[in-house]
Amino acid sequence: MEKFTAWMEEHFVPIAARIGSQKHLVAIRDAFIAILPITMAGSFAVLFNAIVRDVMAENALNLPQVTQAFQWLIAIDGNVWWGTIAMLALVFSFAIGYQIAKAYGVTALAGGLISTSAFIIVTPQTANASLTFADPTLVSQQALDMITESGGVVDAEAGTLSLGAWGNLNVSYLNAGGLFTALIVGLIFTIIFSKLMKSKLTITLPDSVPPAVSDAFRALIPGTAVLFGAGILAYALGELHTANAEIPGSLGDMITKFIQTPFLNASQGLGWVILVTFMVELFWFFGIHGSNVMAPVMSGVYLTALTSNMDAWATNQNYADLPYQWTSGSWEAFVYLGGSGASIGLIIAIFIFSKRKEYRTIAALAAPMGVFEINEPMVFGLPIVLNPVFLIPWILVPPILAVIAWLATMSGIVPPTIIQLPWIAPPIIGAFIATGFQWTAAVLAAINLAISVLIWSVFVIMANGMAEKEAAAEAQVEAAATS
Amino acid sequence: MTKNILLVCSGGMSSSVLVKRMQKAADTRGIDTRIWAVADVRSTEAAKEADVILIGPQIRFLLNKMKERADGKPVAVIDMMQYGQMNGEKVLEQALALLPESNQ
Repeated sequence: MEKFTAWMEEHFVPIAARIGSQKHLVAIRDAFIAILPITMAGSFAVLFNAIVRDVMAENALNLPQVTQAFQWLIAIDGNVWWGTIAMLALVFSFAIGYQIAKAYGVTALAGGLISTSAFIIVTPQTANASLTFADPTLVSQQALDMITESGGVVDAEAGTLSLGAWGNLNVSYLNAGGLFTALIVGLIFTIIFSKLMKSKLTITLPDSVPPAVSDAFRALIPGTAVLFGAGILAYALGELHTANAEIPGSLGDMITKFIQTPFLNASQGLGWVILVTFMVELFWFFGIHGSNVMAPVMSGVYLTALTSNMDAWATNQNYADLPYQWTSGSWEAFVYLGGSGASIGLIIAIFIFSKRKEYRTIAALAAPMGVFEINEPMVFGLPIVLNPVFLIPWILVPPILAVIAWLATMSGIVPPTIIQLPWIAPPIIGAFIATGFQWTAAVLAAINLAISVLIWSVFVIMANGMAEKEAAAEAQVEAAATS
Repeated sequence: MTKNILLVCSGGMSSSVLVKRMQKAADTRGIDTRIWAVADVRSTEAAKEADVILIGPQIRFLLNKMKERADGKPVAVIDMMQYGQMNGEKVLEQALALLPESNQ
């Protein structure tokens, strides 16, 4: 065991250091952290609506008058949603450009602006609106001809009229659905921009010119080159689309179709959920902040799933229409009860079964923090780090809870998460709120908590036995010494 | 002279619990300190105001990066056990011992 842990310290822990110092991964992570106030504001808009509108409409309550009285709040929530969740990719494109430029040691603001501009350049400039006729036969042929001549597309059988208008950005490219596009475009173009900024392709002015002016000039050639590059890319894709309609006409459509959708669909599989859970715990066992190390995956993939759900909920309020079942919120609601390792279960198990005084002291210290998902006192104080007795439950409990929650979610017993909460949201209450006030979610969190207490208890009792043996051995040694 | 002690952890949460205990220990001893905690993301800016920087053991893999940010100021990882037990007294001692002599 000692050899094994030494080997792991030497070979596994440096992986964390490598991920933690890989500047692109760190930039992605920090960009997601930077947009947290935006997603949180959007999350609150969804949360308030869930309270005054969706919960009140439920059969058990059936209080439409409350919803009526809060129409003003629902309208405000709609405005906030429009600027936050509905524009998430747009906001993110600035954040990623900013962080990448910062990582490369280039003016961060310039990086953010270049990234945002490049993102809009590759986004289609027209948006379509469509109307459905209740009775298409009532529209005269003359009227239809007039509409077609002025650019509308009429499908008389289906009874639809669609119109494209130039000068509009379609929200579907700017919301969570466009996150991967914003990420990829931001990464590529800001990296090129940063590299050009550091190359000799800049205009250097004499020292007598004020720094603000010379900075603007320095960015002139790199900025123009990069944005023209984005323009050429958008043009080339448009030409390809004209030649072959199978190819999506915009980078946004292409990335969504070939990268984001396949990635996120795969992320829903049980294997990935177990693997991610397991990796987080394994890092923690060596005293490394697993969620911090795994953040690029957690945010890039599973937070994207959660924000997509938030957006779908804000527009439809229907659990059946949610695009993703498993999100970053699922872990927080059902798996990380009391922090990684479901350590609130361990605290409870110690309170009930432990005969070891030092365990009880640490558990008492850790309990108030554990309620808010902070578990460092348990990890380092008990400790769990490199503790062979607790290795098995530490590594196994969270994946077991994840499997149960995954099955319950996939079978529809528990709805997917739709609201992003701060990670310090207490267990059970967190699950209840994150799913839009669904009591089944609270029950699942409670069941998972009970299971974690049960498994942890076995090992706490084992630790009791070991303490007794150690004490007996010490007593024997002492007895031998005095005799 | 006020001693500026910065604690850094992943989210700035667990170290903020330790901050309170360290501040209490410093007050009892009558040492003039400013102790505060930030998340890793905000550490570059915060490091400018600090005299000594301590990082949580859970992000000890970021030690080298933090040293770059610290610009020559002392940086160290908080002892795991003391961190886990939230031992304000001991961690304060660790911080004070790292301070350059001119500030002790």
